Amino acid sequence: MTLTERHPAAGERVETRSFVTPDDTLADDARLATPRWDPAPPARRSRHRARLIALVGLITVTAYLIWLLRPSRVGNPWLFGVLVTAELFNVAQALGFWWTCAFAPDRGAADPHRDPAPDVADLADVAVDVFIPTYDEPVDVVAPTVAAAVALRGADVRVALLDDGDRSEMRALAERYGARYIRRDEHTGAKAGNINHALGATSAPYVLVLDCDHVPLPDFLVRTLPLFGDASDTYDLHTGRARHGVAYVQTPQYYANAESNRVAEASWSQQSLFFGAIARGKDARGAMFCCGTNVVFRRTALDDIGGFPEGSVTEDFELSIALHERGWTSAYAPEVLASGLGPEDVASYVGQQHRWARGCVGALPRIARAALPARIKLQYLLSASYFLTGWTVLVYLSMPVFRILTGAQPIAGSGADDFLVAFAPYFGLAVLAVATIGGGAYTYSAYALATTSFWVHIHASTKALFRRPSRFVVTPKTASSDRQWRAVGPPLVAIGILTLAILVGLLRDRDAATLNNVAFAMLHVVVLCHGMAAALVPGTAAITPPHVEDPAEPALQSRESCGG
Amino acid sequence: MSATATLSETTHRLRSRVRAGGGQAQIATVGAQFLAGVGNLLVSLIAARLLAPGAYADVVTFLALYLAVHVPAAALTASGAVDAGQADRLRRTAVPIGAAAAVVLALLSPFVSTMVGLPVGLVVILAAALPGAAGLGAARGRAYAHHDVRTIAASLVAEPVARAGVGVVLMLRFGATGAALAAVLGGYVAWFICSSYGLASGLASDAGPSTRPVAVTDPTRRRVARGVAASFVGLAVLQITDLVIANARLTDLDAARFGALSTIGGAAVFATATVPLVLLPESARGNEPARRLATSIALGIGLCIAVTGAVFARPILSIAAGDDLADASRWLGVYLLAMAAIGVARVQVATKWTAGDGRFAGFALGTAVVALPVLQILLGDSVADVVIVTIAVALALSLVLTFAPPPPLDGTATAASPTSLTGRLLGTERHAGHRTFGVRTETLALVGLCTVAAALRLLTTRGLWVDEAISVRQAQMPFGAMLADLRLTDVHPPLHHAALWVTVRMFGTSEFAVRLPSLLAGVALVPVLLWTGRIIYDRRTGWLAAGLATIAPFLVWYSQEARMYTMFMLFATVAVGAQVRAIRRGHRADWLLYAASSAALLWTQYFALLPILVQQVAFAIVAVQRGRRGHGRRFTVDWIASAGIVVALALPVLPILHDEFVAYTGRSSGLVPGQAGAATSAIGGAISIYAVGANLIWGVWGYHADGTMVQLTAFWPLLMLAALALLGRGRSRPTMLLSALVVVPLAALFVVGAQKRDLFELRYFSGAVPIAVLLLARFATVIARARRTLIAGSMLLASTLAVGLVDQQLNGANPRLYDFEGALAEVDRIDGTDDAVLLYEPTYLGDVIDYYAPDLDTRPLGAPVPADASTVWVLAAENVLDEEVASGRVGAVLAELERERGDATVRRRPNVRFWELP
Repeated sequence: MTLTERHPAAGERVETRSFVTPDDTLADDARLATPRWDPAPPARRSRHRARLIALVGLITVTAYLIWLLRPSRVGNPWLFGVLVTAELFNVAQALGFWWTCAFAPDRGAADPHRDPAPDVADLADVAVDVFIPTYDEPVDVVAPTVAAAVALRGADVRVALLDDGDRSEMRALAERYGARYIRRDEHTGAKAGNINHALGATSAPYVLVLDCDHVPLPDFLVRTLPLFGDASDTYDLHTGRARHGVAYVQTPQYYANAESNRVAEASWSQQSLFFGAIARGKDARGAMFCCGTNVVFRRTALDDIGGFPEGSVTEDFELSIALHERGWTSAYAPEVLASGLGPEDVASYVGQQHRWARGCVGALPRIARAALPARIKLQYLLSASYFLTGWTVLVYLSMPVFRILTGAQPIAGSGADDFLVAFAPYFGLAVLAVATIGGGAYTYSAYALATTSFWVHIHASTKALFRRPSRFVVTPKTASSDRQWRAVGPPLVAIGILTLAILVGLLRDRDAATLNNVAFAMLHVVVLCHGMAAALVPGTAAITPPHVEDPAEPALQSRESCGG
Repeated sequence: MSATATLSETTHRLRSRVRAGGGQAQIATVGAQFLAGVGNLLVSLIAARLLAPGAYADVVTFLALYLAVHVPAAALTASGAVDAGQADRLRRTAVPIGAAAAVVLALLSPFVSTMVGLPVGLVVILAAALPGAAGLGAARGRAYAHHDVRTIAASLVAEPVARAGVGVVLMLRFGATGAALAAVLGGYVAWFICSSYGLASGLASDAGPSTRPVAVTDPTRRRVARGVAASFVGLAVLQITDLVIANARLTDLDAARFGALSTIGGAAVFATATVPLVLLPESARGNEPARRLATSIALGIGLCIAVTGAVFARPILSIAAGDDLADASRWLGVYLLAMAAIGVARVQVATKWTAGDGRFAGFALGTAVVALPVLQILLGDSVADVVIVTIAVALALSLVLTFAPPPPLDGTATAASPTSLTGRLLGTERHAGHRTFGVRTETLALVGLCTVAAALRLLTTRGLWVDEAISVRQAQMPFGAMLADLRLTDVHPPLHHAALWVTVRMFGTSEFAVRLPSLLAGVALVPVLLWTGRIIYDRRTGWLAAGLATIAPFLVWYSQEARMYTMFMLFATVAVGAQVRAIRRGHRADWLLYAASSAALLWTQYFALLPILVQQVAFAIVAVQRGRRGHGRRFTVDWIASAGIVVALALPVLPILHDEFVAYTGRSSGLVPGQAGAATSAIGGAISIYAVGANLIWGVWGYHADGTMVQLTAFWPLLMLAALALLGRGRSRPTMLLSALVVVPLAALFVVGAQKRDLFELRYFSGAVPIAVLLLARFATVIARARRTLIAGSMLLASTLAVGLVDQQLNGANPRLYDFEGALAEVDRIDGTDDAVLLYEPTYLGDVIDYYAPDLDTRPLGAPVPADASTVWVLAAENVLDEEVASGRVGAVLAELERERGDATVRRRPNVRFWELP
């Protein structure tokens, strides 16, 4: 079956995007639908707007910090210290986000989006090994990926199904599509070990790694291979480091099930912010890290660092650091070239986040030690430290509880209106910046899901701090229909405590200050409830098509016609 | 030559239309009805001359009862007009029933006589009229059904002729009994003519049952006939309800005045009574021109009578009711207009029933029949109030019946016709042929919302406060003097004052009358928000906005205040809807509507300049963008032209603005009401950010006690939730425009408020409130993806508004509630003697005190107190007492009075304090 989409602007990017599937029995697979997201850089005006917002945001954040850090503001010194730490961390994250996204240099001619599609014939002789590692995923998840990989154009493609689950049906699947079936005797090193084993068994100069649920477009290699450019060593005049050219080209991880499942939708919303503005910004600073799938490697680069690091649960992140340390560069192709599946239930999401948090927080010392240019190191620090955000959420959740139950409050010497004047512009600009820079990709559901997962960050970073081992857990590709109490246990406890605080506050005192804290507690309760609803209310994860009014209605027609 | 040809062609076309619509029959019957009316009037005049006053009063009562028993007879006529077969059956059954009723009435005549105050003989004569009334009703119905115009006309004319001919002799011989006999005899003569004349002469067969297709099938025709009969009874009830209520509630003199109005109004309704009856058989055949013609005739005759009544009100009332009741003349034109509306409603009821839409007509009529007495009981405190309620209900009924979309075809809801006003309002006119479920339901829902909105604005009310009383005083001046007074003493443009000036002249100065412009504007905001919401967003948003507007506390509050703020809101909402339309489709009508509403805004509130500037900036942005794309020329020309119209229309207000500004800078402020957020300021009386929050709460959830406002404002963190919830929702230009229309005036007045605190006041940017309601509705519809969620969320939102409304309206701690009315009523109740004196502080309370206590000796604080005053009252506004100087003045006067008269007893009403010194 072939699904075809023709891009509208013939003069800009004329291409035919077709998924190739093995047979019509898989026609309902969401990954075969045309991707409905374009991570291409926004127009120049949008970038200017983002910069303006970031600049105003800088002023508001400065004003807020000036207001907050006055000695007269210190209420309870402990609470004040904790709050200020949390605020400074978030301010740093915000500044980093604005710096990465709003002030990223224009890639100019290097922007792959601006490059004309290369002549497929030029690449026909380039050999590419396509690795599809699998462990316990169902055949119907893997089959479209294998079929589409076999149909990749523009290179001498050698597809290998790397089966760490030793399953005969995988062997049959590989044989069915003419792919190579690779398995190993010792299953060490999880996914990294599986790929390293395959690297030893193959020889093509380029290696495409696809998670087994990511179905590539036929033009995947046509769009990515040209970005490797010249492989000869160069010398960076600024840093004095040897440069070995592009080690890998990363492409977005698109969640095709985002339109049918709320958890996947929220998760995709977070992903789209990363693979949109953030990834473009990192790429512009030469700091795009590998994300483990939908990525093409230069074999010599992998050989240069001895293959994938097997001691980490985020082998891709560690790999990127190692490659950048060795002077290799990276590239990012901001276009959807493969469709995958996001986590469809909260437990899967939590598992995925925990793995990322554990790996990234655990990598912080490694980043600190890494011999990297400052801008790249800062980018790695920003990305890895994001997974400490859960601690700040815990701080914010705690403050109204402390105030209501004990009367202790972090800030003194100001009225609520003073705080509002100082805080509201900063908060408003921060939200506006996320909305603008993210191009509207980041949603409230994504925010709520991330907030509800605060405990994951805390748990993972605690394990990282105490160097407790963590195992690689494959993110499930299908949703569970059971209630997932464990996945939302901590937020449930938080909701309980906050609700208690609300009740105590309302019963004990109704002065403005108490009600203000009650309102903060209510805000948190609403957000947490929203974030964990899919875990506790069966059926809420599935998205029913929104109510659409009669398309013939004039109001709608006219709105569309004026771009409203 | 060509003009002559055109005239000839037009005349020919008109004639064709009249012919197609059965115009000759209509004209003939209306003419006969007119003659009958004149004849009956002559009979009445003769009776007045010939009979002694007591006997004449008996005749008047008898005729009223005679007309009452003819109400069901008229219903029989209507029923028979729809279905000739039904008419025959009715004739066979109605007369025996009438005879039986006559026997019963005759037997009960001694009791009935006592009840109605008529001699027994007259009651017996009335009983004798019953079979005739039933027979006449059925026979006339048959004649109408057979299109027997001559018979109908003959019977109509014969009735007064017989009364006059025989009646004079009988009156001379038997007095009132003779007059009653003549009246009954006239009915029997008419029945005889109807029963025999047409059939005997073969006229009926000429125009017998038509072979043309009939819109309603036989099985349904009987149902339609019954429905028409019931509806006509309902209309008759509607017509006399106000008289019944007025008799029960008003003083004797006012009841008599209203009785005079009602009598003349009844004559006006009588004039068009035949129009729907002639129409019924034609309409049942699907004759659309006949429907239009009947409506035109009823409307034309009604308007002619209303205009005549308005122009010659006093002489008409003098002749009909005597000079004593001629004071009611100011309301005659309006009341006749109400009767004209009932006449049109009767035609529309006939049309609806015969077009297969009787259920809708029945529902609308039933609602009116229930609403009228309820509203009269609640509001009918004076002749003016009763008249206002009557015309409001009558107009609403006729408008709903006239402009409701046509009934669904073949069992499914279909689009409204392109000319349907409701269809346009509901945004369905463009997709004729598409299934538009619920268009009729939506019509009913809109009527329901407007009814609820009106009821909420009327149910809970409050006394006038200072500003309103000042406006009422100004509106009672001659127009030129009012404008001169505005220039010297006011700060507002004169549009609302002009409307109030007209209202006061039409309906007087009752609370209800002076607040009528605000009430109408407030109710109109509901459909206007629906319209604007639909234009800018979609149907769901429009409906939710309209629903929220129905109960939004701020909108309710200012719909109850005789000031300009509701008009400000109405024009602002129209302006933004028109602007979006002008940008999207650019019809000339859109530009004109925008220009007119913007100019009206400037004539209503000077601060309206702020939203107008925002809108002009929006136009400029669109013009630049379109210019870049190379197709902005026409848009730019239209925009400049509309801006020119706004400027031209607004220019005359500039001299008034100048004079008011000069006068304003040279005087101190008047009574400044409780300021939203003032109690939460951290910097003394200066403006704070909490004041913004308090004003936002006021705009959405209404005004509450200071403590409550502080508490509600403390919940600002929930706004963060709203901001987060909007993440990923995208943005639209209309939303940005609406947001700017809220934020820019708010921000601008916040800056101004930093210099002059009382100017940061939601009233002065009240045009932003309906816009905010619209944004709130949009927020809800965007956030809620599933219909169920939307309904639940909307209900929750509406519930919070309802709670706010209840607290705002009923909680006496509301700082905006000044109960001067209650205080002065208490003064009057405690000490109603003529020689009491009331001192008040500050001086500008004079108008409101004069309004509520016109007979009391009232003086500003500090004026000398007569030594012989039985009781001295001192009254002051609470918030004035918070000021040191004023408080000192009041204290000094009280201390002096207490030395002379002993201890004062202090009393309180919301925001008013008064002391009694006997």
